[in-house]
Amino acid sequence: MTSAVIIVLREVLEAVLIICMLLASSSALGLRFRWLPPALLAGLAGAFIYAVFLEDISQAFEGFGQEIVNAVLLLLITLLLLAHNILAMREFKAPQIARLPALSLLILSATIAMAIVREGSEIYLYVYSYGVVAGDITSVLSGGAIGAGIGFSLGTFIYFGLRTLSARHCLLFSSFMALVIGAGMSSQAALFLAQADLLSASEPLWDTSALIAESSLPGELLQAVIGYEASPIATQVGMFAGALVLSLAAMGIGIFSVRNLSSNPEAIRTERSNE
Amino acid sequence: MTSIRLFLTLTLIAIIVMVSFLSSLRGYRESMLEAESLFDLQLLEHVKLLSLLNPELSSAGYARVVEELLLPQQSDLALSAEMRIAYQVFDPNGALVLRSVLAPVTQMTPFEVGYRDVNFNGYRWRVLAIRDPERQHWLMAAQRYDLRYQLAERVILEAVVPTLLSIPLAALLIWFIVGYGLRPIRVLARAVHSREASDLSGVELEGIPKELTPLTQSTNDLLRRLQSSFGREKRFAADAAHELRTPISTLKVQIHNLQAELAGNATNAEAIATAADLHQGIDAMGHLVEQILVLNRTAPDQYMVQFVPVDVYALVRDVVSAEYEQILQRDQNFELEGASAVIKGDATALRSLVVNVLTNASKYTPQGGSILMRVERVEHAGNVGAQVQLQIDDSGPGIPENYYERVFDRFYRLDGDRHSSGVSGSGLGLAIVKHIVEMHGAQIALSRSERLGGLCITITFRAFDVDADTGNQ
Repeated sequence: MTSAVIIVLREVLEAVLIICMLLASSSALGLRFRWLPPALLAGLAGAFIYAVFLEDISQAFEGFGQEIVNAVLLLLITLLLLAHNILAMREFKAPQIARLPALSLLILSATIAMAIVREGSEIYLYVYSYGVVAGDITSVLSGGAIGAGIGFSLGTFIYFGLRTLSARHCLLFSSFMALVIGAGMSSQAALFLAQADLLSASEPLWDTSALIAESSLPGELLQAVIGYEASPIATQVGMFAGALVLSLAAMGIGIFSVRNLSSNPEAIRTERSNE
Repeated sequence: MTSIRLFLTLTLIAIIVMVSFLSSLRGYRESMLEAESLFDLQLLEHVKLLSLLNPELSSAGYARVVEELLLPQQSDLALSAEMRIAYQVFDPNGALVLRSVLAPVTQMTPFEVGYRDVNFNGYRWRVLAIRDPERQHWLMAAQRYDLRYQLAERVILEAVVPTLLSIPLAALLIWFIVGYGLRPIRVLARAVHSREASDLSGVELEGIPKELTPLTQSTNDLLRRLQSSFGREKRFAADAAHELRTPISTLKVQIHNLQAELAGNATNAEAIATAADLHQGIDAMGHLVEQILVLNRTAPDQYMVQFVPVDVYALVRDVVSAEYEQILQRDQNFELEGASAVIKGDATALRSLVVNVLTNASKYTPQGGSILMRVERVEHAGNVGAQVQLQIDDSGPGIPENYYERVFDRFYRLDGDRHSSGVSGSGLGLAIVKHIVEMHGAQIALSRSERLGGLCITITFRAFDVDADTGNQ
């Protein structure tokens, strides 16, 4: 049961962190939550379809289909988080006057749907293979429920914690969360691509498993938050650092794109009519 | 907009889930460790029992296999099958003399006293080896790890699962209890929301919780201040208008006299024109003052309502004959359609209403244009003639749809003072009409006139059935 708790908690936490952070951003961006149910449903449907067709997907791309699809999903989420950071920093710099509501809705919904596809399919597969196929259903379901419960509780605290901040601080904090989560995801994507022989797999750069083992609870939680890997290969470290730099650059672009707006109403009008 | 109920429910459930799940998890891990030592103890007891057997009864070199005993109950059998223990007995020379069916023919663990984890028969086993101090026999008992684990987990989950299942119930209870706790806020909100616009008296509610008392007190305080300032504003407008009537009448008489004097002196043409403008200005001021007075008199909270049966058709005809001169002056074509239709209302106020809609239409309809008034009984909710409709169409420029709400505001005139019609007015006419319509519980709607292309005002009253009313009395 403990392993079910840890695995489900890790997956749920990965998704819940993204969802809660984006929900807090969404209200700081002045959007209502009507977009959430369709995004959740799309994500759940996607996760189910992915899990059901996993066998066919795995066999595609010379047997590396699953790794490639996972990497693509992770990289797409990283890109969407970059876009979120641009939007959040625009709002941070020029509150209420530089909003792009339609684009924001699209980016937030797509990010959440994809995060659910990725984490939901993992949970479904775990429960299916260890619970249903291995016949350990009570144990896996109880463990899963405990893991999911703790994950959702943490999410609730994070969401309301972010909401206690002012809109601008909330956006700043969310952007830094997105930065770290995105970097972790691109590092995981690098590992998948290395497993699919699409990126070079070097010797691990270091090994911190003695300090924090990957399979321990702190290790799994760190993996959920920053994509912790005890013995990462060079490509992973490179992708992690690259994503961090890109995300910071995205935040800079967000601020730069609206630097004149607060003092130039004409620019705001043009900006809005272009949307 | 954050909901207090949602916030409290979610955070409370999150706290309960966090605390109870973490303690369940801790309890699970502790219980699993405890179960391990219990199973170890069970192995020890088995070995002790084995030591009571006399292995010398078995001939040396021949390993006797102890068959599983059949237990009477099927369920006991299943449990025994899960719990079963493999054991071996070796003589002092290390030869196997006794073993259970499950045990291998080779020794399960080296001849060393104590517990050890070993693999055989494709599973991982927990083995205890002990040497009989008297006979120097080696006694070994072993249990499969996976079975120990499953059995322990099944027992412990029996305690964990109810905690998990109780969470939805707790969530439901919290949702209802928080809702119940917030009920006074809803009651207060409803009490404030449901009152009439004119009702500015304090909110009196019984059993208001002490957290809401400051809010209720400040609201009541605010309402009191609002009421007295409204009262002052109304009294001022009414008093000022009333006081202005006398000097305006004096001015009218004096301008009349001045114009009569100037008329005798034909050389002073400029002065005559100025005097005519002045006369017009004084008339406009007089009209404005009268309108302000009517507006204040017809305000719902000021008006002493005296409802009597009124025939709207007759009233319209009456008003038209009084105001016909204005229509004639502007060379407008007027038509009245319909038939007698009785409503219950205030005759003076209704006259004011008809005068205002008619002069409004005449004012904004260009020279030579048309005005059509219609009074008819119409069907409502399947009752024929349940309502009386007063409709006035004109061929004027009409009002753009997005201004329909605003034209009822006091002193609001389309395009401000630069009204495109070039007509002077007080901007109070439609405000007065709306007051009177509300006073009678009627409805007013503006639209584009289908027949004349200008504005169409439709006022719908509840019809008054003379016979039914007499019957009731």
